[in-house]
Amino acid sequence: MKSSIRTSSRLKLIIGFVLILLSIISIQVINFIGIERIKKSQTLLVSSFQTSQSLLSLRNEENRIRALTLEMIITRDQEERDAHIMEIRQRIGLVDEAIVTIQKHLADDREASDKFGEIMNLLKTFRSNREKQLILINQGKTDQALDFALTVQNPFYESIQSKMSVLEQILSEQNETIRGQNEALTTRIVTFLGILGSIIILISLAFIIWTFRLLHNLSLEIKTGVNILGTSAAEILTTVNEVSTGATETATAVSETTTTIEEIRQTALLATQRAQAVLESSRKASEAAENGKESVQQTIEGMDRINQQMNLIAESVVKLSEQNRSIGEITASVNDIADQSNLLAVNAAIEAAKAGEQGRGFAVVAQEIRSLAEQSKQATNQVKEILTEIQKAVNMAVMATEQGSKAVDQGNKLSRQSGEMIDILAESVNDAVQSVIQISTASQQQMAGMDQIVPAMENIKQASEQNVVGTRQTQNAAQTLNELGQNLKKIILKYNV
Amino acid sequence: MARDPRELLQKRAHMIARRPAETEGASNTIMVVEFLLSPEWYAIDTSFVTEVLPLGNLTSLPGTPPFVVGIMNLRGKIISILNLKSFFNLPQKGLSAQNRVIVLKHQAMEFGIVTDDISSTRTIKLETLSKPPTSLHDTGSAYIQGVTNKGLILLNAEALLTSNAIIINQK
Repeated sequence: MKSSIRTSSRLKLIIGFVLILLSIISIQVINFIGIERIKKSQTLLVSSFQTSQSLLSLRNEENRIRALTLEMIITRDQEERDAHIMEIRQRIGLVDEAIVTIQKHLADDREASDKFGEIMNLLKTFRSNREKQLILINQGKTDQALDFALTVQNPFYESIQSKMSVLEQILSEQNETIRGQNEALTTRIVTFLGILGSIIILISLAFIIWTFRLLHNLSLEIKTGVNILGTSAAEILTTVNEVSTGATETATAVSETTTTIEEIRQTALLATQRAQAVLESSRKASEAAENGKESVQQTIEGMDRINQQMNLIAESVVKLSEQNRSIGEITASVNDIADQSNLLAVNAAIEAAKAGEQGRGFAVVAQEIRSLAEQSKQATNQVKEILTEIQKAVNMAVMATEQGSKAVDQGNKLSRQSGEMIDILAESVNDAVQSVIQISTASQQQMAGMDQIVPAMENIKQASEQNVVGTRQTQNAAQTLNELGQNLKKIILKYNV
Repeated sequence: MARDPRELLQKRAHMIARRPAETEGASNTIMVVEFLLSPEWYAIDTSFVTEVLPLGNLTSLPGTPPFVVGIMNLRGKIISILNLKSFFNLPQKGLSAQNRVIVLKHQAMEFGIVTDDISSTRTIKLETLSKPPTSLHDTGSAYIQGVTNKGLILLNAEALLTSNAIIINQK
């Protein structure tokens, strides 16, 4: 963040300088371009001026040539004529020069050059006519020449003169416009430069203010930074002291850890021995479980045998019950017989009574039969009661057998359950054996690990000693840092920005 | 039960050898058959009794009064069987082979009566008889000769056998 701020400040500075530089360069460029353009229009102006001058000299020369020609017509003196011819020839050369100059200057100006072309056409005819006139003069035909001059050459001359003045007019107008343009250009450049200059001054002012503020802020930040540096240095010093005491504590802790590791080692050794013992007893438990399983199997077989016996008993009891019922039936028929005997006795008694005195003995017999019948009935009743008792006992026996059977089933079930329990127990014991083996290996690994920890602790010890040395160096460094902070403070005060 | 058989036989011999008590004296005793019309014990003169037998092969008849329970084949002879309980308006029970029949006969009239049980024959002194209880039903009282001191009700067999009620129904 700080670095980004710094870079942004740097960027701003660079941008500011570049802006100012660019403004100056642009002023230079605009200056140069303006000067170039002024120069150009100056040359234009010069050329236009030269053209005008040449045109003027052309007019003058032609005028002079015309005057000379007219003089030649008038004069009779040959000598004078020759002098005039000479002068004419000379002046024709001048005219040619002026024409060349004008043509050169008017090459860019189409309108003026067209106008000049027309003039040149007229001038060509005018000049050839003049040559004819000169020939006429030389031949002495002066009248003829004068006539020619008055009728043919004069209108030509007038027309040329007028066209020339028109051209002059155009040229002077052009000259005027160029001058006006020149002036406008100059004013524009001056105004533009003035505006640009004030903008540059404003930008520079803003930039200077901004830079000043940046510097001010910077110095403030440096001041606070220096203060923070001072306090930080003090803090570092105290921290270093703490670290130093910490290092000493680390040394004692390391030695304590070393003793603890020794204890853990002993514990691991003990754990290994215990695990061995547990393994042994687990094996014994496994064997016991195996034996228990066999016993349970035998118990189940015994239970099965008891069940068979119980079934036999139940069958016997059922048979007994059936026989009891048969006895009951027999007793019932005996009872019937007794009843019938009783009736017979009663009938006998009745018959005896009817027989009167002869039947008295028979009546006694009948009475005796009746009492026998009564006794057998009582006996059958007793038998019936006994049978009822027997039936009850048989029923109880049946119930007892059923309960026995159920008890046997229950026993069977319990035996199977105990068998399953023993199986589970055996499994648990096997699991325990596996666990014990794992514990044993784990404690051996632990011991190995402890052996590795001892040199590691030694390394830590050395490291903490080195730490102490390093701390001393850090202390010195912090001291130096503190002094540096003080110096910085002084510097800041000195350059109070 | 563990009695000496010899002793038992001797006792019986004595009992058989014993003379019957001379109680009849002046022909004031009668011999009766004891029978049960539960819950009361009744008696009837043996001189009107032909025989006693278990109730069996009873054929019920339609269109007879309620006291006629049916007819019975007694060794080739058809006799009608009456129920005295319905005749005397006594509470009734169902009939079975356990019921006994006493066949009564007087002159031409002969029929059987249904009883619940028959115990034995015995002799009754007529002097010991007392009047029948007044609470008994009117129709019943006509056929009761008396009640012994042991509560045994002596039926008047002759009155029963000659009763118009029965005869009319006999038609």
